[in-house]
Amino acid sequence: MTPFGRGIIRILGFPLLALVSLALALSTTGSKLLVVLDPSINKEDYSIFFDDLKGRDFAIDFRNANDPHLSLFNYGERAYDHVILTLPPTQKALGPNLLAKPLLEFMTNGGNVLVLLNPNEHALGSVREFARELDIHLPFRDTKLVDHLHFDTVASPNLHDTVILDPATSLVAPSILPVATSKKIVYSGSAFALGNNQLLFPILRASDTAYVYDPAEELLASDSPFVSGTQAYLVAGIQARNNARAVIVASSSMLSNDAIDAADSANRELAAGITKWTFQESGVIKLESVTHKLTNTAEKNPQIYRVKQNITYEAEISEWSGDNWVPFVADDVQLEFTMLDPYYRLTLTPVDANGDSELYATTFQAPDQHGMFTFHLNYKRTGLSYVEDKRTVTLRHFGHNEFLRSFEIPNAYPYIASVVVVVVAWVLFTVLWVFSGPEKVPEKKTQ
Amino acid sequence: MAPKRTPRQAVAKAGAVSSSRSLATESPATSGVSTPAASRIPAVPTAADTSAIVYQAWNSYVADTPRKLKLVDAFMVFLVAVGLIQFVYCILVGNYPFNAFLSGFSITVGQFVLTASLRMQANPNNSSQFEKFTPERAFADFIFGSLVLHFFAYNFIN
Repeated sequence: MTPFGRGIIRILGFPLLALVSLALALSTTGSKLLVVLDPSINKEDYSIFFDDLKGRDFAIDFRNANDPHLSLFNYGERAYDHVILTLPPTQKALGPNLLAKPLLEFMTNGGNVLVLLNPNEHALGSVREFARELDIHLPFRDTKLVDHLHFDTVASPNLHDTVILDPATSLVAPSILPVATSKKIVYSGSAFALGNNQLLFPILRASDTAYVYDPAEELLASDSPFVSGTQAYLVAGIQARNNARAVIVASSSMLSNDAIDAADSANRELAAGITKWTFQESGVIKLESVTHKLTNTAEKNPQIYRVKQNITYEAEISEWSGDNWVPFVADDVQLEFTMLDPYYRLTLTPVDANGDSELYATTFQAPDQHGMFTFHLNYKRTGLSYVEDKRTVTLRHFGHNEFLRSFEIPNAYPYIASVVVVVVAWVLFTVLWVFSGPEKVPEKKTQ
Repeated sequence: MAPKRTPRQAVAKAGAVSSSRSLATESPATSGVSTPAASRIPAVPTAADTSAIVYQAWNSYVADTPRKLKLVDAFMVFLVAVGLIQFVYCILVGNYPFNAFLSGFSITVGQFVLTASLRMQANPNNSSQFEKFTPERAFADFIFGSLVLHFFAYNFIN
């Protein structure tokens, strides 16, 4: 970017910067995006959402759900980098290539999945199964999220099913989705429940006074709603152990032009935040290099250390800023020095930013325990790519000629002196014994 | 065992003398009453008794012990002193170069044991028990054992 360009950005302020970076943003894992769309869904209703994606260099392939040639894999390789699934209301199934198993296999191979549930229909079997694999429990068909205290008075004056969410309280993961708090999120649809999967985390939840009910049997459902209050989740994400990401949005209407164009709506930023995180444009960090060595020496990554030696460990971590790698600064990166158990768990300090990465370092004295030890860097935080690195080294004991000699230790001087004194005194004693003469001994013997 | 019997008799005499002296310092009026107690008094020696005992023992030791055995005893006292000093130092300062401490302490103990053996064999009073071994032979054994001990102690210092 030219200095002139930067000046313009500074003058026009943050909104334009956000738009420019939106335009330049590029996924770290690829740009091939499959959108599974039903013909009954009017693409024009979501034009702003898809134009934003095209503006971020995604090569979008719109396909019909029952297209017989649609496949996530091509000769065993992933055919796409990312998939957006929208649920067709007119069909009973998504087709044989979009069952839960191929979708999970797609994630296993590193693909990212964004599922947009339909607000008016129940989820199809395959998507329900896919969600259940991620420990997300989808609501029953035809249910609605209502909030009799925070609703859109124009869109739903009677049913209260178009709810208004405050990002300050509803956005559970603001580090993943930074949305200006003065704006509101417009939402209409149902909500799901989350299980205990530890990789799963909520992104957007309903307000305290909202609940899910079935309009057909209102009295029954109001007694025991499917989910209610802050346990009703609208957007949830999961990052698999291979860093593949999946996000489920409970209602695709949140991303429609109507919701985006509504007055004071934060939905566009929300949509951008969700897709950026899902498609590996934000929250992506990587380990550039790892070195360990004896402190104040040049040789890098030796295979063997001795107990009680001072070891310096360094790691470089960088973060994807949207168009280039920048230093990633955090104060909670930790190193474990383990043999079965961690002998040390040390916080790495960011010492230097060199170019596109931040250098973390720590120095410690190896424990007085020989064996096979591992430098284990394990940085797993919600919303960030997992960073893990293991380096195994040998820790040997002291060589027999590596201990201090006693005469180098002042403590030992009295002991050494006593040995010398005893030997000298013994020599003196033997001399005196030999020359002391036997004159008294015979007298005693005669007695 | 004639020399040992002499101090014991001396002790008995000294005890009798001192007890009669202590009775004399008490009031004469009670002397009649304390007469049965007087036979019991020698069993409990006073400080004066103790010093007298030590003095007697020392005198008999100086008079009756051969010069070579006195030399041996002096050497043994010296070894005990050196060992005690090291032990106190170890308690106060610590045993950090532990092998140095072991070396220094065990050379005093070992030398003490060897010297005690020499004293037993060289003592003319024990000659009946060591008929096969002359004092010269005992001394040669002592030299040999000591050299081995010193060799090990020197190596163990590290």
